[in-house]
Amino acid sequence: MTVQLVKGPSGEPESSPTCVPAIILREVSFAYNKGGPDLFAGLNLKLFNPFITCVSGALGSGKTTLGKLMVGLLRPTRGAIQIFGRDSGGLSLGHIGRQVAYLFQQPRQQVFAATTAEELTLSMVLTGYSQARMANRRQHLLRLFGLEHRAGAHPFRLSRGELQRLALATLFVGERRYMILDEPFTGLDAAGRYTLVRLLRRTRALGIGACLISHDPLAGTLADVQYTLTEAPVA
Amino acid sequence: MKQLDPRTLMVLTACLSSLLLTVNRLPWLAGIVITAALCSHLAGRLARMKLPLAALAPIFLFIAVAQSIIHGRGPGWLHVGKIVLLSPFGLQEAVRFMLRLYGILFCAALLASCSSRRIIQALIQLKLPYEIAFMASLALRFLPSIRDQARDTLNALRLRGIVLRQVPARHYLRLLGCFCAPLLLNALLSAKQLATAMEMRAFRLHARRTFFHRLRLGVRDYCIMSASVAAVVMLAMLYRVTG
Repeated sequence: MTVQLVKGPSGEPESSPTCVPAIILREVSFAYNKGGPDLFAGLNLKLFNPFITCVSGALGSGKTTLGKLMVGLLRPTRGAIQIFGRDSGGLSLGHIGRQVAYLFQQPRQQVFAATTAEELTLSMVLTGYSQARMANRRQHLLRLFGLEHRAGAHPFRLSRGELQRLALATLFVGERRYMILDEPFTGLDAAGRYTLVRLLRRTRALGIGACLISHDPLAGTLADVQYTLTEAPVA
Repeated sequence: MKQLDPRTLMVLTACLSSLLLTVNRLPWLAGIVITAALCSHLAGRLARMKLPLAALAPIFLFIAVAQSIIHGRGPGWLHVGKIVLLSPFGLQEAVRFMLRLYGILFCAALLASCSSRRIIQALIQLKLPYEIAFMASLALRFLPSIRDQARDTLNALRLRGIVLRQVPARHYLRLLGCFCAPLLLNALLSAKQLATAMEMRAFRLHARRTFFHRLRLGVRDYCIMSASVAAVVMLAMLYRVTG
C-alpha cells in the first residue's frame, strides 16, 4: 500500500513557524506476519500540527494499521517513526499517550471505569490532578458531549452513539498535542457529528492537529490535507 | 508424534502429569520433565514455546525464601538473627516447584500440538456429551482472544497517558479494577452473543448428531498408550521400592 495526496499542500509547510511536524514516518515497512508480504513498504508520510489530516482508503487498505503504527501500538519492521521529534521506538505507550490521543475503532476497547463520569477523570486521577480541576473538566466534557444525563451509568450500558461520544470525550482530557481518530464519525447522529467538527476546528485553532482515519466524506471536507491509501503501483 | 491420535496424547499427558504430581525426588522429577520436553519436541512444539524464565525468577526466589523461613530448621546459608532466610531445603522446594511447573507446561504444549477440532472429536468419541465437548472447544478458542483482549486493554490504558510504573501505589487497586473489569465484561458479552448466535443456528435441536470426521486409533497409538501406562506402573513400583 502507498499513500497518495488527494488534497492540501503538496510541498512541506515547514517554512511556516506555526506548523510543527507532529508525526513523521520514514521509509516505514510493516508486515503482520514475519516473512509475510509487506502491507507497507518504504512508506513516507509527514503529519503537521495544527493541520487536520484525513487518511481515507478502501476497506482493508490498512488505514487502522497505519494509525496503530503512528501511535506505537504496532512497531514497523523497517524504518522509523518520529513523534514530535523523538523516535517512537524509544518511547513507552504511556509517554506517547501523553502527547498523542488515540481513538480506537471500537470505543468499547477504551472504557475502563465504573461510570461515565469516572471514565472522564480516570487518567487525571491516576496522574495526580487536583479534585477541583477534575470536577470542572468532567462537568464541562459531560455537557459538551451531551452525556450529563448518563453520568452515573456504566459505560457498557451506553448506546453505541453514547459510547462513541464518551470515547471521544476522553481524548479531550489532559494536554495532548495531537489526535489520531480511527473512524470518529461512526455511530454519531447529526448533533454529535456537528459537536465533533466544532471541537476539531476549535482544537485546531489552539494548535492541536488531528489525523482522521475515515471513509466518511465529512472527514475529507473537514481536513486541510487528505491522503488516500492505494495499492502500490507495480514497478 | 504429530500424527498421533489426540486420545494417545491425552493418555501420555495424563501419565506424565500423574508422575509429576506423585514423584518427589529431584532426580526423578528432572527425568520426567526431560521426558515431557522430549515428547513436546517430537510433537514439534518445543521450539515454538516461550519459556517464561525471567518472569518466573521472582516466584522462584519467593518460594525459596518462604520455604526457608517456614521450615526454619537445619543449616542455612543466609540468616537474619535466628531467622533462616535461605536454606538448602528452601532452594530444593523452589527447584521442585519449577520442575513441576515446566513439566506441566511441556504437557500442555504436547496437547496443543493437536488442533482443537481433533481434541473435541476425541472427547466426543470418549463419550463426553457433545454440549460439554463443544463448550470445551469454545473455551480453547477463547483463550487466545482473551490474551489479545488483555493486551489491547492494557495498551488502551497506557494510551490514556498512564505510565504504569509512575502510578502511585495507592491507586494500584483502582488500576487493577480498570484492567480486569472491562476484560471480564467483554468476555461475558462475547459469551452471551455467542450463545444467542448458537441458539439461532439451532444448536441442540437434534437429539443425535453424526460427524463427518472420525478419529481412528492406529497400531502406533495402541503401542504408545500401553507403553506409557506400563512405564508409569513400573516407575511407580520402582519409586516405592527404592524409596
